Amino acid sequence: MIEAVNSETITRAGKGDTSALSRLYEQCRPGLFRFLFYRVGDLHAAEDLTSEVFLRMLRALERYRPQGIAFEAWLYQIARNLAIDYQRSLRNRNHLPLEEAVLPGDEGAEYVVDRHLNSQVLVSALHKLGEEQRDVVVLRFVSGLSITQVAQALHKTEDSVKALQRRGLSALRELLKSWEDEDV
Amino acid sequence: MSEKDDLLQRHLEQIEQGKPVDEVLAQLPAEHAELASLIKLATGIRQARHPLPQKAFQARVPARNHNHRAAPRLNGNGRVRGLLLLSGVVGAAAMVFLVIFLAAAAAFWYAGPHQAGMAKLIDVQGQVRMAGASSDDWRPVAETQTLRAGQRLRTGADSGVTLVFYDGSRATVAANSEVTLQRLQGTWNRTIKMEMLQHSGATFHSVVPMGKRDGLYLVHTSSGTARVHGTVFSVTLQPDGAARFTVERGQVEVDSGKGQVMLSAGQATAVLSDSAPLAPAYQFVLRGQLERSSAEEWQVDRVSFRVTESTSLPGDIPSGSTVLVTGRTLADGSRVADQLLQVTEDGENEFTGIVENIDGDLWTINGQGVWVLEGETEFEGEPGLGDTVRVKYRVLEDGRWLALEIESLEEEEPPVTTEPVVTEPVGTVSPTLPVSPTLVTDCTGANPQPTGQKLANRYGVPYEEIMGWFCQKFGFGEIDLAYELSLQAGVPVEQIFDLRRSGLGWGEIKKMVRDGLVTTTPTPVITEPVVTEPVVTEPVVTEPVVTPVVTEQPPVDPCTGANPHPTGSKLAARYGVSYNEIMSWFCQGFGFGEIDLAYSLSQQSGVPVVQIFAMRQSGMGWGEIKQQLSPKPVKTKKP
Repeated sequence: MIEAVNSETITRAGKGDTSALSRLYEQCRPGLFRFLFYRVGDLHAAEDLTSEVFLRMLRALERYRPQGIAFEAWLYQIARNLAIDYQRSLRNRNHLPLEEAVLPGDEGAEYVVDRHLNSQVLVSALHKLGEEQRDVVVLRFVSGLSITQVAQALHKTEDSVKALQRRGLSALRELLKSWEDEDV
Repeated sequence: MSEKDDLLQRHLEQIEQGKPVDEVLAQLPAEHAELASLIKLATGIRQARHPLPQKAFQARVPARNHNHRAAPRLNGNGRVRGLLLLSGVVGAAAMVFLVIFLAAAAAFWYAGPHQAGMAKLIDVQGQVRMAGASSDDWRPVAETQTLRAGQRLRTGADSGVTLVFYDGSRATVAANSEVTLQRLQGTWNRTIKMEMLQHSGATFHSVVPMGKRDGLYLVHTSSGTARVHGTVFSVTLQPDGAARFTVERGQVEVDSGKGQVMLSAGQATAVLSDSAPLAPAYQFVLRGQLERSSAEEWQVDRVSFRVTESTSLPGDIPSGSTVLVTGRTLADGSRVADQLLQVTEDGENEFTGIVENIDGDLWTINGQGVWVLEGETEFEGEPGLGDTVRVKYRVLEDGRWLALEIESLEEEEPPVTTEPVVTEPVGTVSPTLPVSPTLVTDCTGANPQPTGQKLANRYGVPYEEIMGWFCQKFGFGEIDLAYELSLQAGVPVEQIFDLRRSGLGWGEIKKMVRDGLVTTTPTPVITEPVVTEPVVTEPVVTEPVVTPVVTEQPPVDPCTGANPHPTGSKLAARYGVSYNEIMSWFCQGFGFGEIDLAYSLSQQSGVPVVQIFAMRQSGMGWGEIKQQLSPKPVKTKKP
């Protein structure tokens, strides 16, 4: 689970305190980057989008009021919107760069479902899931958000996030198993 | 929520709290043992090696309190001299190596990647065969096999295959089709030059945008050629040689040798043998029972259309058969079928067109009234007035059309490059020249724009204020929503628009406003909307709409930050204009990338930079502006 961002840090960052901003950045960047990477499937795009999330955060931080919604959830909302916009703009491609490069047929049977998962295999598998299931799995197990934070970020109830979590993991398990069977 | 969902979460929480996985798994009730694999998978995902931002990216991030590692200390002058000598020798050797390496790399780069000359075959279904350029030895293909220039591909009934090119573009060859890959080359910057000859059947293409790169993507048929630079389109060749080109996204130029047309998203054209392409028209698709088939009019699902000599028919189709009709809606509203096929299952009807009016729940799209009802109609994107859309609909008992889905086919604004296009500075016209009023009113259309007027009346604000937002590319639906939320929450409307600009969706903004997360700030962050002058019908020159304030001594302004701002100074030097001029555009809300682009376009086109900024403020995208400033030569018919 990721460490919750201190509300004082947020307030100070909102007032332009650079050390507070640095702390926010250091704390949230890895999770955000990973979420965006698994969302868009492209390292460079994920890097750019992570920067953009922080730029937008900086612009909007002054107006952020920590009422009812966790800061992390708010940040992931921005990230998710950016990812959606990015994917919409890439709709012409109809696919993601990594997806074609990491089909299990190319990789061989070098992974096992519950061990040795690498990011490329995970990207391919996650992109076969429905959007909501994918978001929940990535936010929970890659970015490390709690059920409550995921629910806030996705505007869902905690119960529906739990359901999406189980269905997403089940679908992912079946997918990885079928790939493994094909390759063996 | 099911018991399983809760149970899984409880066990996952235990692992998150540091309990060993084996212990947690041992506690699982026997009747829910299947959850063990999910818990293991979740743990596997957590423990997997996930990517991290690259170092270069980390270095770009400003203002961090890192303790830099201290440089190693050297003890004694002798050791320093020894190290200097050693470093000199190593440096020289490294330099020689670097030169050799760069030469090899340049040669390698020039040769282009090996794999760019091959298209990977995926999604092979049914009978798919391949043959060489001058061979009739057709052999079955397998998944991940590759196709090279000169090779041919043929699909049988109920078959299909997708070609994946080096740049990520894809071409799907449908059943009963044959194509020859005539040319396939690529470079390291993931650009391809691809030419395909389609002998028969149908192909569907998803082409990665080529941007400024020197790419080529051509699909030839006996009737005409499609040329694209990043789009989604399809080509269907009928037995009589007529071809139908349809565009889902982007633009496609269709050239038959007798004439050319440019198709935009949602449009289609047909090209008969030895003829110019027909005028672009919006598409329709009907799937259902053939209810009537007279000489004058055919009807499917209570929607009528014409069948002409050029319509492709699979022989006699008895009434009552389930058919798939694809065709075009002509300018007079009539529908002409290009192709009818007998199919086994009916499905949704759809058509494309422009949203011409929104009157409550009734939308008029391409002259057709469509009901948009909450809970029944889904939206893809944010379609608004004037947007090109694809509508999936159902005809109700009373004959009304109910929209099931409305998808915006509008392209996202092309990203503005931050790289200078032209680096040589030349004199630029001062930003005080008169601006043609037509440039400014382009974004408003009719004056007064009826919806704009309606919203102005509804919210008691000046018409110009509403149109100011509209000219900043907010749709009327968005403007309506923003003002409504502003009224509800007592928050300035500027703040609502600012949230939207920050990347939040309208649903989230609504929620934030209603949850009290958006509060009134004493000074709105964004500037006032652009207020346009009323449309001037007489050909008179009006005062410029955009006039940056240029002061002798630039005061330290919150919009500029550092004074002088380094990027501002750089651009001023690059284009040979004053620093104040650059910063005045910046303070009007233009980014440095935009300013750079505007000045470089001004240099290339000779159009005053003030006029270019006015075009941008009028709501035009940079792609449109570029296009308008660099008109393509008019093509003439080939002799």
